[in-house]
Amino acid sequence: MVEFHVDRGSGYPPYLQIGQQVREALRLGWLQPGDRLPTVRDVVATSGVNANTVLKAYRELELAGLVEARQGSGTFVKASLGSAAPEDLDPLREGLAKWVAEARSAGLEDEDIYALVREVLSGGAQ
Amino acid sequence: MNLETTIWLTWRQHRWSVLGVAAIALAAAFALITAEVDQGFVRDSMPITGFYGLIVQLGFGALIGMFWGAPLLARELEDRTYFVAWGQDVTPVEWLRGKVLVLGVLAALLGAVVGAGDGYVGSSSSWSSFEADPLVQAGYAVLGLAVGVLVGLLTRHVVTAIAGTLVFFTLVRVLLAMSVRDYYFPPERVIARWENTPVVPERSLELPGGFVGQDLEPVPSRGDCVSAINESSCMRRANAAIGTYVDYQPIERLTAFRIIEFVLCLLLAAVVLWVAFRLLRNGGAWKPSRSHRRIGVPVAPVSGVAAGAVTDSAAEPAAGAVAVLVAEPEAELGPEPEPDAEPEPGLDPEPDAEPEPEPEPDPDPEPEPEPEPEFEPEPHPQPEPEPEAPDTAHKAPDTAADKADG
Amino acid sequence: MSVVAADVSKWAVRNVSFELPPGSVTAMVGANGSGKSTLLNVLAGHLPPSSGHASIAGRVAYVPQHKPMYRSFKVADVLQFGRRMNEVWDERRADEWLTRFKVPRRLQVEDLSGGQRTHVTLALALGSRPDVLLLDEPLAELDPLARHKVMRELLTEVNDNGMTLVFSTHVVAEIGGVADRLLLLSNGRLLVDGDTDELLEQHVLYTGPHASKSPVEGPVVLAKHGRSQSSYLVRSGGVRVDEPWTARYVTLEELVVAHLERAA
Repeated sequence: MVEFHVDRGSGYPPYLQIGQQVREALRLGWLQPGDRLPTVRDVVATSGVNANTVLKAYRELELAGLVEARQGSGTFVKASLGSAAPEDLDPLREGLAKWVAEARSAGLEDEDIYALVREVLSGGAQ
Repeated sequence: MNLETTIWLTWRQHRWSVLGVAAIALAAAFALITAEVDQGFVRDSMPITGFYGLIVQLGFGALIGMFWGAPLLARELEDRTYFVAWGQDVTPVEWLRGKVLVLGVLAALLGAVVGAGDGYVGSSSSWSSFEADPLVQAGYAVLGLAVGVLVGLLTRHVVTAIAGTLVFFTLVRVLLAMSVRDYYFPPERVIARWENTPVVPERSLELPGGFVGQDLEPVPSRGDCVSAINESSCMRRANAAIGTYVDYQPIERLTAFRIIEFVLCLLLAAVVLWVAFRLLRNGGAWKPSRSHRRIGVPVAPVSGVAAGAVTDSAAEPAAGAVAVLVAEPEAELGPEPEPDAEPEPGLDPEPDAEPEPEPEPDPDPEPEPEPEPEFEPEPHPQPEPEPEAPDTAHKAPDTAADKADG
Repeated sequence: MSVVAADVSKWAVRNVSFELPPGSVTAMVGANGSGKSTLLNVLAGHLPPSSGHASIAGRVAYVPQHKPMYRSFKVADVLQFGRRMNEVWDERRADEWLTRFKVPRRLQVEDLSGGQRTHVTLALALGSRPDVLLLDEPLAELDPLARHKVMRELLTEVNDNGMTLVFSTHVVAEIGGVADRLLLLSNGRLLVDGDTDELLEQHVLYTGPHASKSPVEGPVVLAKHGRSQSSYLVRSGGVRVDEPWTARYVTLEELVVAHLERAA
């Protein structure tokens, strides 16, 4: 069962934070199609966010085609995200860990690493 | 608020002052009664216990006012617990009515106890012990309570209210005793020619006298005689009068006067309480709490229109295309009330009822006279049943209103 | 609508209007003296507005700022008070609240800590099954852990009972994800009234080279100019921007501070 953490200080709207966390869980394989998302009441009771926020997050995920609400029984994961199977992820993760260690030893801080990753992802490296 | 709740709440909140005052009252009554037994009839010396009892008699109304009346509202206002008291389903008016009723009956009973016994003066059926009477003391106690409640509401501060009650109640009481009481009925008069002195019947209350002229009506004293050593012989020499007179109230009127004083106290108390209820209802600064719950439902359709207006205008800045100043929210809200004013033909059920919901429920359900019925029954043997009648009568409109919105 | 304020004026509060739907959670934010308590008092019916009107659909319960309560009452007496003084009373709900926060029933109110007294007043308020619950600085006397827990429990009550919740606070960091509606008051005026998520999505901070004009269209909330740099907080609705400008979303706190600075 996923548990959501909402960063109240963040400028990122809380309902998007929840949506993002569901997507992340899907990508990482923590949530599989057919899994049930926690009920709105559970999320409210455990993470102290407004029920409307949770509903909004679920609705957004539903619109994105990732989950579906089944009458009376809850919200269920419909599709998986991320094309890679979990077993394919492992070597990649290992490689990245090695790379991060290298970067650290080169004196890069986390912020520098994020910046580098972003730059590479956006194709901005020339 | 039913009687049981009223009694529970009054006892829970005021038990110490109730017990204290009751103890004083009982001790005073004991002192007065035993002092009387000791003596049998009037003597020059007075047992000290009877003297203390007399002091309690003099101050009992003020005592009630200071320790029951004054804190009743002032304590709530000072500690802000009126938010608690008046934030429940029981309305402030019901709340105050209940408390005043319970404490009023109790005060009247204790007053009667204090007034029992002949006191150190010897016999209660004499003008000099006019106030040593259950009825009179009950009247003072109720008046003291009423004065305390009003002063407490006005000052909103317990200590100030206690001091104010003492001053104000004493003033009223002294005024009653000194200038009002003697003339509840027009006095009787004895007239004597110069040779005699006017003599009032035994045990009468002697009032001021003067000179009478030919027609046996009082005449003013001549200017030059006022300063004379012997005013009478001066008047006689000047032939300005044919004799003297003295006014008096015969002893037979004593009981009637006591009843009149009692009723007068109750009327005064009723007026004072009427003012207090009035202020409480119109909210000096504290509007009765849940009263406007009652307008609940009619709001919905009208505000639905307004909500439409809001989301429309809110959509504009979201689009980002139009340059809307940030000060916009205020501007948006300005025109908003308009939909309120325009009765929408489609959603009309009660657009009329909507604009001023507050004044409506207020004046209607309980008109002013409520304070009086609480006290008038007291002279009669059974004080309880009557006050309940107005109670249930008041409840009816309330519950009806509640149903209307639920 | 569950709560309506139509052009309400009273003391410092001037011409405030808003409407809150049932089941919403609204945070009323503003500096001390901005009129939050006055406005709540008007909504709760304890103060008559000098103009305009306020109305609430259904039962209202109000917990004022200093959590007044009869000091001589025992906690159990408070429950009895609630039961006797209300036509609708949910003893279990009030009782559970006290149990949840471990408030001893036998103590007198005057012997309770500030936090415990808050719980007693909240229990009394919830026990009367309000449709609208108005709280003035409900968390002020609670420790950080309890604050979080109280908010969580209140939101659960909102979710379970469809209650409308309005609370005032000046700690903006507490309202993210909690309140879906923000009312920002300053000097008795309503500066901002909006859905918190929408507000967050609309406000973007653009930073770039010194410029006398905002790089995007939309109402500028606050502009700041450094020696070689300018930043604009714009209610742009999330419009993207070209190099060399950068854009980022702001936190609720930044948003509130910017609006207050602008109003000052």
